[in-house]
Amino acid sequence: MSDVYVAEGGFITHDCTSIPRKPRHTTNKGESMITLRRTTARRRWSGVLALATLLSTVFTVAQAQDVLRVATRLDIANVDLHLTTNFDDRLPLLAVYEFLIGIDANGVPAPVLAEDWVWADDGLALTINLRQGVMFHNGNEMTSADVVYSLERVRNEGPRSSEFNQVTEIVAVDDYTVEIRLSEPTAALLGALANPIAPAVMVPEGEAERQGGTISRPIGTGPFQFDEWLPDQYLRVTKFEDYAVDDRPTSGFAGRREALVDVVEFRPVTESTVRAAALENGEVHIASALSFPDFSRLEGHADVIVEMIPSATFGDVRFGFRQGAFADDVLLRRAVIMATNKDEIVEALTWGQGQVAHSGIPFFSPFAVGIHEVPETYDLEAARELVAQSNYDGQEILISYTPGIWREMAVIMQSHLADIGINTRIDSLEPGSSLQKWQTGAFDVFVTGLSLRPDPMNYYMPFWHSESTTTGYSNAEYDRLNEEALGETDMDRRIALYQAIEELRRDDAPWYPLVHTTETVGYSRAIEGFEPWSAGYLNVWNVSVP
Amino acid sequence: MITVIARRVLTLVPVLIAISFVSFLLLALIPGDPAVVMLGADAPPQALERLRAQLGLDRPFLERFGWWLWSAVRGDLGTSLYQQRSVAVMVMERLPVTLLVCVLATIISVVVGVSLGVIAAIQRNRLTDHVVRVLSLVGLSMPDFWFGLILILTFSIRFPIFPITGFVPLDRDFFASLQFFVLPSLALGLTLAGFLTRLTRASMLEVLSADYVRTARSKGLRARTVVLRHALGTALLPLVTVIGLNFGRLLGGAIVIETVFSLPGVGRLIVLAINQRDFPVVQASVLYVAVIFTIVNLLTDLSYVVLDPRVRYS
Repeated sequence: MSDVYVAEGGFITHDCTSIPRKPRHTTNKGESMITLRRTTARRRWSGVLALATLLSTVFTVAQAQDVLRVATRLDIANVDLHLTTNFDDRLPLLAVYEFLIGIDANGVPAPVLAEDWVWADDGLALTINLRQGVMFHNGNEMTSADVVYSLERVRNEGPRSSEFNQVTEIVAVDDYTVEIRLSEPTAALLGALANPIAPAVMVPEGEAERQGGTISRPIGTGPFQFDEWLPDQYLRVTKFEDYAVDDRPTSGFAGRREALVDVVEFRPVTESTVRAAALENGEVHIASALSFPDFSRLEGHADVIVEMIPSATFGDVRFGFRQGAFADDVLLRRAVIMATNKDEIVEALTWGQGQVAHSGIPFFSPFAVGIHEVPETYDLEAARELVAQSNYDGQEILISYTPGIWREMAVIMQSHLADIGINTRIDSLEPGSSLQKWQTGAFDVFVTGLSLRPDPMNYYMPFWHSESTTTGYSNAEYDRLNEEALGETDMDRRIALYQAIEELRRDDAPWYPLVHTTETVGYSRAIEGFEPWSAGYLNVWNVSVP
Repeated sequence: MITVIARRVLTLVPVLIAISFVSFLLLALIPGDPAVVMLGADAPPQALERLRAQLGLDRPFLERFGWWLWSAVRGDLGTSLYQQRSVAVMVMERLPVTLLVCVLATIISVVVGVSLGVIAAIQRNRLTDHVVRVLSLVGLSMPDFWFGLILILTFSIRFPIFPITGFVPLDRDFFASLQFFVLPSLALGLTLAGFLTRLTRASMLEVLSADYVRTARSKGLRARTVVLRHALGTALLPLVTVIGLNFGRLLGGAIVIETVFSLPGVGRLIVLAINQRDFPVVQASVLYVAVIFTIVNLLTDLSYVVLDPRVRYS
């Protein structure tokens, strides 16, 4: 499954007690009724309780103290991370595999297995020094040969191979030095190495071939090693005793990541309510992706902390340029953007816990300055005027979406468009069909979302450059600016270029961002060291179960 | 009798081929491409083309179905596009879980449904009858997944008796595994029991007013003997068909209940495989479930011979 399904991440963390609560609908009368009901219930249940005690003694399973149990939304489908873009695959497995250069807590590339890196003066080579003494789970030390092998595999076979288009050669200079040579300068190379989607993680040289072409038993350098995977039951990883601890400060995938428990067990539990229930009765220590009703039920719970934080993921609306009323009508596209009340979406979709997305890159990106921080105009009157000037003649517009939270956005969008006299119908599709629609560009307008990517290029370019877009969008100036920004290695000039790109996006309006969703996670008060992360990944490292 | 069974088994063959064809056709008709699902929205077109060719998706529909059928006849159901494992193994790993839930739910529904139905019939129009009627209507109208969530909230949180995650495979520790089946079987079984209660009551009332029951009563037999030995057997006959058909409904309902209770059964496998467009897995799962359903139907028909001396197959 693709990355666009996933709601993840958040930045500002607060303890649940400090989160402003919605008024509860309890009156004095209501409370007394609940008490009354509870008393009668207690009498009725006393027999059940006796039975319960009896049965629980029969069924009690001994559980070791040093096992960290995590309830995830979906099971993994593929352990060969080089080849899978599925978020649910990498969520647990990024504790097993490690990046050369990975994203830190703010989504910026930082050294992980790399000691440091140096750019050549002409920008045509990146020299990466490796950390020494890093061991693979098979007992061998990681050297430059393994790095070259892993990077070549990602570059040649991975779904993101196009991000490495400028790479001409990857060379092992000595055992602990690797040089990546480029045909032209590109600032996005570090981002390509750190992109967690189908990640460039390090595996031993020749490992895939040894395992018959694809990797079925993961071998990495991470703090945990793969132990056992029973589909739809659990994925179990155990502490890797020979792990080479990085002494730099912990940040995202970078820095100190230590295994403080012996075993981590990831249990796929599809229903949010059931994940919450498992957290509540102590079966799991961490429950990811909780729904709002479960979040509010667990708020203030004696044994559980729940946090809801703005996510790195934001929803966006993409116009179709192969069909439909928007294809040749910039006025109509601008009208739609102007009629979108993003504050209302934050309120309706994330109960006010999310955040309005003003620009095409996340609010915390180092590039998100200047125009990126300026809200897009919301003005119904002006929007109606634009519709009147446009070629729109009342035809029905189909709103397609990626299933999940984006469906609700599509529904809200429908009401916004009704406000300016645009007729719409929601195009209900299941995941596979929806992805097919996106991939073939057969839509009028598409509501979906983007999870965290390490470089602004990842947000602006692949989906909208005329050579790679599936939407049919083609704008020579947009292409030119993106190519220039990709080749620019000076940070200040790059920031200026991405301001120009954002300006053009607002003017020509091929797509527009909506809101950052929320990352909602619950965890037991009994564990120490767990911290929700905007990127949506769960740090099972540095967590102990005292 | 043997020839009857043999003939019935033979007629299964075209049925199963037809079912396979329809599911193959449906998967081909719905939009969605395994290559796109596997590589995601960011994938470049060349990578998609390469994967499609690798998976054989670029070949025409009938050719693909022909190949699948020919391999299936030889006992090879293929490998999963995603997990590169034999789908027969994947389905067989999960089938016991689904079957056990369905069998336990059937037992629960029959035990509860028949006893309540008989009691309601005997106590006709008295308070007990009314209470049972209300209960069975509640059961009938309650969605099983909702009832499942209520059971979890009650018996896993309020009274933590049954665990809800951390399934133990049946072949590792049967009794530890069984505790994961109690709530899902109850959720499915009790919602089905409502229907059986109504049916048993109606059927029982009809039989209780039959001449031979009156004769038995007038012979001075005890009420219990009349009900249990004379009436019940006859009253249960129409139920057998319903129980057989219910099993089919249970196989369908298992998909939902497996999701609610995180059970690693065939239902969850099918749903995931459909979302991933993992054709071989969908085909194999549908085939196995179809085989089970047709076998249950066959057993239902044959059971009449045992239960009703008037029925003869020749």
